[in-house]
Amino acid sequence: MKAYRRLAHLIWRGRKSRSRETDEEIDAHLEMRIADLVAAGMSEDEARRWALARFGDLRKARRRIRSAAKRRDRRLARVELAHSVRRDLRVAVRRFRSSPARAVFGICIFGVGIGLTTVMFTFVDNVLVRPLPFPGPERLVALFSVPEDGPAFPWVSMGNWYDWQRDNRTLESSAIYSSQPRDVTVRDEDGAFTAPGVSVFGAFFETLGMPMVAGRAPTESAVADDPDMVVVSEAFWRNVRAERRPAT
Amino acid sequence: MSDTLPLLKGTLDLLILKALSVEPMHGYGLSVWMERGSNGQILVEDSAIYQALRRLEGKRFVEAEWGVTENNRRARYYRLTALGRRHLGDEARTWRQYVHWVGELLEAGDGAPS
Repeated sequence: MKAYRRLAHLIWRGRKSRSRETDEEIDAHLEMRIADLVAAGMSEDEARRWALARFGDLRKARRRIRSAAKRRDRRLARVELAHSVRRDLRVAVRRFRSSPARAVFGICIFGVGIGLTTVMFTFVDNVLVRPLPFPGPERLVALFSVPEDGPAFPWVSMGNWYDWQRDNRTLESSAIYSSQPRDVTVRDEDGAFTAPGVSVFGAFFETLGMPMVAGRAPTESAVADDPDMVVVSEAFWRNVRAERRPAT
Repeated sequence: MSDTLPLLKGTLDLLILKALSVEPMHGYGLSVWMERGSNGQILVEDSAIYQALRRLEGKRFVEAEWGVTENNRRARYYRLTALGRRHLGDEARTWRQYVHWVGELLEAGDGAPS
């Protein structure tokens, strides 16, 4: 702890204390020289003149000594920092050797702490800080059911949504999706595999402002014609196509 | 001061370290030590001593502490550190070799040094 205090002192000693140190030292020097010269038989005035001449241009000297002191402090602070870091590392290694179990436990605690913080940050960043990856994200809202005697439910019944849809005067468009992921079986020439999917209903892509890259949009009339219509992501489409492409 | 010897670069630091290897001194003491020891031949501006002292402090060759003189005056006393003592040994050796060989070359006359 002493080392850190010394380091802080070096860093914060600052200009004021350096110039005080310099001034006081120069004054003491001149006084001593004058006293010696007077003792040798010189008059006070003459002794002062002599002392000043021996010292050199006082103003310039002050400035030079002060800046030398500044360089000194910077240098010492660097050395002190390197020393304390080395000392801490040595202590750390020694502790680790003397009780590795406890050290590993400590490291794990740190790991968990950092991990949780990262997860929390990622969550906050994705959900609260970074906007949704759709055009006009500030115009997107999520609607929940609020019963008269309880907290908001994170879901909406199909019937309620139909009612909202009918009586809506606020929203440009709305859609409903199921929060339950639903695996979809996909079959191609090589066989079948499952892919994660979600059921959506209403003008879902229109509401998000995501146009179709290819094919038909699942508008209400299109879905009425083909209730099992599926929309795949561009990445999925590319991957499946890439896998299908014969190896060259 | 025209009939004094100019101080070669780096010599001042060496002389200060030497003086402090005997006992801790303040800046004025160092000035007097040099003047008396060289019979008044080596004179530096006193301010140069203080600049050199700051430099030596930065290199951790000397350490300073406020103390009181015989006449009850506050003064900053400088003390040689172990690092400074080692450095003094090295530097003094280099200096002696340097002086020796410069002397040899100057004595050599026209030809190569004997």
